[in-house]
Parts: sequence; structure tokens; C-alpha cells
Amino acid sequence: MDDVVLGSVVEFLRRVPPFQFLDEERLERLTKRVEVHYFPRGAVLIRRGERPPEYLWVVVRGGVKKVLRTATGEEHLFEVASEGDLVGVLSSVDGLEGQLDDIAVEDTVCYAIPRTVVEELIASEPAVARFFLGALREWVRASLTALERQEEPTDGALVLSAPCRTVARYPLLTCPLGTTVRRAAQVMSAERVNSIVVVDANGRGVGIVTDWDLRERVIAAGRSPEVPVEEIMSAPLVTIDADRLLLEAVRVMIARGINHLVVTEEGKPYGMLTAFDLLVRQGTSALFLARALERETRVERLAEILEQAQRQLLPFLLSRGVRASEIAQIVSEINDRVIARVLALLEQELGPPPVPYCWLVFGSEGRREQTIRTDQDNGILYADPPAGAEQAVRGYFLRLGQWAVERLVALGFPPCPGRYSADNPEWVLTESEWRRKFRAWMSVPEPQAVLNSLIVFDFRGVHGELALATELRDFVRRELAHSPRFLFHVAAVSTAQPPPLGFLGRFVVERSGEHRNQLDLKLGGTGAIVNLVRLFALEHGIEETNTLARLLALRESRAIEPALAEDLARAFEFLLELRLRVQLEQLQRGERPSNHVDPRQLSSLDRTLLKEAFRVVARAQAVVRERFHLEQAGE
Amino acid sequence: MNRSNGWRARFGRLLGGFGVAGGDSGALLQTRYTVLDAEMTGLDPERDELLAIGAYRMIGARILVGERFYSLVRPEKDRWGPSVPIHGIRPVDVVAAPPAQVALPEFFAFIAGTVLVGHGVEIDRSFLRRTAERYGLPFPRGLWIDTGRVARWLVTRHGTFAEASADRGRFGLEDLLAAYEIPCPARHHALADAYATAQVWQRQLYELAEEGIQTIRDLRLAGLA
Repeated sequence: MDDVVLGSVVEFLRRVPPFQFLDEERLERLTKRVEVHYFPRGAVLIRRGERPPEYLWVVVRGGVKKVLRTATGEEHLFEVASEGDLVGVLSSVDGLEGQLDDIAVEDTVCYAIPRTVVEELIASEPAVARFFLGALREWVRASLTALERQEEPTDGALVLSAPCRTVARYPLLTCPLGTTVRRAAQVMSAERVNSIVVVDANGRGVGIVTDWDLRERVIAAGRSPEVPVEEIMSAPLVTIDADRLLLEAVRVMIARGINHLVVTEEGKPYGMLTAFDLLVRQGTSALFLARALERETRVERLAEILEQAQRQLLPFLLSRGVRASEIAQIVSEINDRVIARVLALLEQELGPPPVPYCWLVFGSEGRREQTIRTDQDNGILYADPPAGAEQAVRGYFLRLGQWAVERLVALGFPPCPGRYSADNPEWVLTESEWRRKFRAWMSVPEPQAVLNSLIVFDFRGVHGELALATELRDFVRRELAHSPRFLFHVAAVSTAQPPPLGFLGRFVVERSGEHRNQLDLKLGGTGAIVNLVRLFALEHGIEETNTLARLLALRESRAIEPALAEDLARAFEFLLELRLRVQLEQLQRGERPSNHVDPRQLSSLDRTLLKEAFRVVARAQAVVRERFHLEQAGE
Repeated sequence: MNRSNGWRARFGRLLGGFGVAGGDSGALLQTRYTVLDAEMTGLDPERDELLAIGAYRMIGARILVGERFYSLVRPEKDRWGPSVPIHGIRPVDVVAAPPAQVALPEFFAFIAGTVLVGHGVEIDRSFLRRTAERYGLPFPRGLWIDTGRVARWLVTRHGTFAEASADRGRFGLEDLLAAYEIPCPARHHALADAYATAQVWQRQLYELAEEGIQTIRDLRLAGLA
């Protein structure tokens, strides 16, 4: 292509949903109707209540905030659209008047797609239509709710870990080379399908003719319907073996920007898989992956599915605009099920547990905030055994802990370097022992011990007798009410690490070592927020362990300033997402995921938002310091 | 004063014989532009020849990605100067290209009724004009805007051609692209450079508006067209 500019626009849009669902030609034709718009900082793209804009914008560089201004002039920020995000979806799809004010937060470049073009796309491309109807996010939410209610899926449970043959539509309609277009169209019409595969004398697929080809390359181009199909077919045919997983099929479709994938068996066309089939259900399938794990009995298969979830599902969901916190929920659903599955298999090997027990997870797992798998932090809580049986019962659970941790390591959950895991006898305890342990932490607090115990306070029961965990939570809450000194120590620990922002709001990066010129997104960022919010939650007797859920509860009970709660939630969500994006990129480069990032490598919008997030952390820490009369850290 | 002599003279000349669609009072944000870039065998309009022309249409600050012109041009003489490594166009690339007497009329049709914009556009313009003369083609009248001079004006508030030339080092396309953080898919390709220039012009339109320059007339009064 002599047109490097058009090429670069196509390249960009190819990675942006919903345009990535378009085939190559369609995308190129769309691109020719794109305009490049520029909005200086502060310029208004859409004004609430005004007539709908003539364009749908894709942010190329910069950022656009979507805000709602109340009658009193208060500004509520809904989201900030950045690179690859869309502005004006509602207006361009439904012709609605502006719902929010959309304002450039920095100098912003957008590709602008005229509304008429968007309307044509929606009319002709089901995948695009679905996307715009915003169904995906709703699916993820609805299915999370459904999962909570333990409802069985009703839509046939499409699982992305299933082989392609399970959902391919077959038999496949084929015609030999030399068939006239008229004949092919007649067959398609009679069979009520929108595509036909052209095969050679050996039965190998060489191309595909879709409704689109008929419309664009025959009717619109004024060709005779008597020409052979090879003149108008799309070739070469992109295929996938019937035994490959659906996740792989999704990956191919995204990478190639195509909608139809021919499923082959021993090289011969066998069935058809369309993006539509996959995409309309993909949101829920992330969760049905978890169900597949539940049914899986072979441990090595579990590892494979998990690996796929991490490598493909996460980037996939992230690219679809699913929030990092939602992804973390999905991941913890999956992880919980793996853990439960491993334990259930072990219970079969070791024999049934002698007394009821509950498998506890701590730290990020306990808070359902794990995305990329990190260390396992877990323990066992079991009912007080009958007198005389203590040793035997303890022996059983020590072995269960040992084995379970080993199995989980084999599945790719890294061991915990600090030994906060169930293969350490310190974390395999009876109910009474756990209570004594918590009481000791709270009654005679000592800074190092407080620091070490904090992640355990985020415990959550995953498998077994969950009521045991609930009772322990109640106990901790009651004890805390009489432990003001403990909260003081938690407050000191929680404000010890200031965010890496220095003089005039510049980033403070490390000066030497492995992470030279980088800053830690966790230490003064997500971790700092987790600590602060945990402190508030412990102080106000909130049982939730998830940071966002804790904030919501704190806000509803008016325990902290609603504006602060909201800012913390937003900052946390942003930091979580940024960290996930950085880690996925590191994984893709074959590096070990870390919490460090070089701020110079972030987009200017990310840098701006990162500073905002750090400022929120600093503000919340100041609030805590004042409340607990603490000295400024580091002074 | 040199400075006012410069723009007064130009001002008078332009007022003399000038006709552009949209008229003198046309708002800059509504005007139709052609943003162009040409590649040549060298820098001397008398001896060197056109090799490629690339151009984009803009309506106000909107760049129309699909409305563009690109053509390689086959030169008559075999004069390949040291510019080859810059634009990367080799003799073999243009053997099948149309000669100037075919490419130019097509380009002139594309620019009809638009204001022309380019970076250091004076040189592109003299090549186009010289080539048109050589083949007896009518050279369309129009208004030409140099984004290099606009850049200089925005910094110093005045900018004659001579001053802009003297300052070329500071306001090169490369410098502006860096300053505005505009990535360019391929430098020294006529079409890519035209696109990059269009993005520079897009930003300058807003910056000019902030300085109260909102119409073609304002632009001429500032000595920028």
C-alpha cells in the first residue's frame, strides 16, 4: 500500500473494539471515511443536552473526561476516555442528545467516524451492533450476580476452554471451484446461511464467499452473477483445527481482524465459527471457564486452563473495557474454584476430614484483588477437635496443608516467600488457636507484629465449612472494639509509606538498582490504599475484605467523608488497572511481572492520572495521621 | 521599519489580485485547505524536477483521511542528486509514473478552490509553478500558508519569509512534530509529510484563534498568507 497514513490508521483501529471485528476490506473502507480531529485541552466534544454530534470519536492520544455537572455546579467524573476509547457512543448509536459533558483533559487527537458510517456499520455487522449495545459489560455484571446466586447457566454454557468442534456450526456449506456466483447464492439462500466455503478438487478450502462479498463485489461492482466464485471470494481461508480451544479461535479472530473462522478436521473444512457466536457470549464464558474447572479432574488440565486464562483471557477482557476490579473478581472466582477442586481431590486421597475445617486465603486473594497470580497466602482453620484426638486431627490438616500448597505450586500459584501459607504449621490452627492468635496481635501490639499480621486480617473462607470463617470474623470484630492501641499501630503502619510524589508533584523514582528510574505502583499506591481502607474498615467494624466493597460500606455508613471514599475508590481502580496493564505487557515480553513502572514510558494521560491517584493517597494518609495524632512519616 | 515594509508590501500585493473560495472574511475553521508536500530531485527549481506530490484535504481543523492526493512523478532528465537517500525514491520507482504534464493537471484539479498549506511551502510552490510554466499549464491562483512561518509567528509575533528562512533551524517540521508530540508514520514520504503537516496546521489553527486570528483576512494582516 503506497498509503502509509491510511495504513497507520487501519493498524490503530484494528486494535480497537468494535472495529477489530471488521474484516480487512471493510476496515479499510471505513478508514477512508475517517477524519482526524484535534481538541486542545479544555475543548468540548459533546455538551450535555445539545443535539448529538455528527461523529463517533476514537481517542488516539490524550484524554477526554466524561462529566455530569449538577445544578449546584458540582462535577461528577464518570470516566476518562484515553487511547483507544470511544467518545460519543450513545449519541452516535441511538442519536441521543449529549448525556454528559465530554471535555478534553489535555490536548487530544481523535479519529472521528461520521455518524452515518457508524449507522451503516451497525446495520450490517452484528458484532458491531452487539458491541455498541453495550451488552458486554452488562453480561459480565449480570453473570457475576448470577454466580453469586449460584444459578446454573441456562444458555448452553459456552466455555472458552472447550474445543472449537463443540460450538462450530456444521455441516458446512461448500461449493467447488468454478461454481457460478448465482448458483452459490442460490444454495446460501436455500440453506439460510450467510457464507459458503469454496473447496478445490481435494476438498481443501481455498476461500469463502459471504453476503458481504455478494453485495460488494457482485451487485455493487456490477459484476455478472455468472462469473465463477473464485473471482469474488475472500482468500486465503483462515482456518482452525477442530481440537483447538475456543480461546485460541478468539485470539486468531482478533489478530487477523476477521469474523468467520472455518473449523477444519484433518485439514478439511468441517464447520463454521463466527465472531458473532463467540462474542455475544464471551463475557459470560469467562465465568463458565470457572465451571469447567469445577468439573475437571485431571490436575494437569487445570494448569493448562489457568495458564490460558492468564495469558489470553485477561488481556482480552482488559481490551474490552472490563474494569480491572471486575477482572480481579473473575480471576478470584476462577482461583477459588481451582483451590476448591484441589482440596476436594485431596479429601478423596486423604480420607474425609476428621472435623469440619475451612480453607482461608489472606492478602490479595482474601480481598479478591488478585489478577496476575502472585504468592499464595493461605491457611487452615479447623473446629476444635475432641479431647484426645488433637494430635491425629492436627496431623491430618498439616498434611492437607502441605499437599494442597504443593499442588497449587504445581498449578502455577507461586509459593509464599514469607511462608504465609498452609504448609507452615503456624497457619494451620484450631478455632481456639486462631482466636488466641488474633487476640495476641490486638492486645499487645508491637509494630513489626502488626505489620506482619495485617494481610491475615483480610482473611476469607474459600472451601469447607465457611461458617467457621464467619465466626472468626465476628470474633475479630468484637475484639477490635476494645483494642484502640492496636488501631493506632495499624494507622502508623498504614501511613508509613508515602506515595512516590515529590516536590512540585514530580514522580520520585528509584535512583539505582534493578528498578532504576522506576516507581512502585504497589508500595505507595495500591498497597497504601489497601492499608488505609483496611484501617477504616477495622475501625468501623466492616466485615468486607475487598477494598472497593469496604469503601462502599464505609461511604454508606458515613464512616468516612463520601468524597474521600469516592476518590480513593477511583484512585484504586485506576492504579489496579495500570498495574495490570503493565504486568500483562511484561508477561508478553516474557518478563516476570513486577509492580515497577518507568513513568516516562506511560502515556501523558496515565501520568496525569497517576499523579492524581497518588495525591489522593497522600490526602487520605494526612487524614489518618491527623485523626490518630501521628507524626509525618519520614520527618 | 523592515518588518512593516515586509508585510505591508505583501499585504498590498495579495489584496491586488486574489480570489479564493470562501472569500477574504472566510473563517479559518470553515475554510477548505489542501495540505501538501512534494519531493524533488534537488533544491533548484530551474534544474531539478518534481518526484512526488502528496496532499490531504482539510475542512477547518478536520483532516479527511480518505480525501488525499498522491502521485509519483517521472522526471525528464536523469538528474538524481544527493536527495535520494532523503526521500528514498529511486529512478526505478518512477519509470512507470506519469510525467509532470499528466500528474500536475490532476493535482491542480484536486486543489481547486482550496487554500494551500505546507511546511516551507515556498519551495514546493516554486517547483509547482516552474513545472507548470515549463509545460504551459495554467498555474492556479490561490493563497499559500507556510506552517513554518506560522510557527515562528506564534513564538515571535512577526514573521517575514526572510526571517523564517533564517530561523529555519528552529522551526523545522521535525522540531514542530516533536514539540506537538505528533508521531509520523514515515518521514520524507510526500504523503506522510503532508499528513504530519496537516496535523501541525490543525494545532496552529487553534493557537492562531487564541491570538485573535480567525479569518483569512486576519491571517493576511499578520503577514502569514
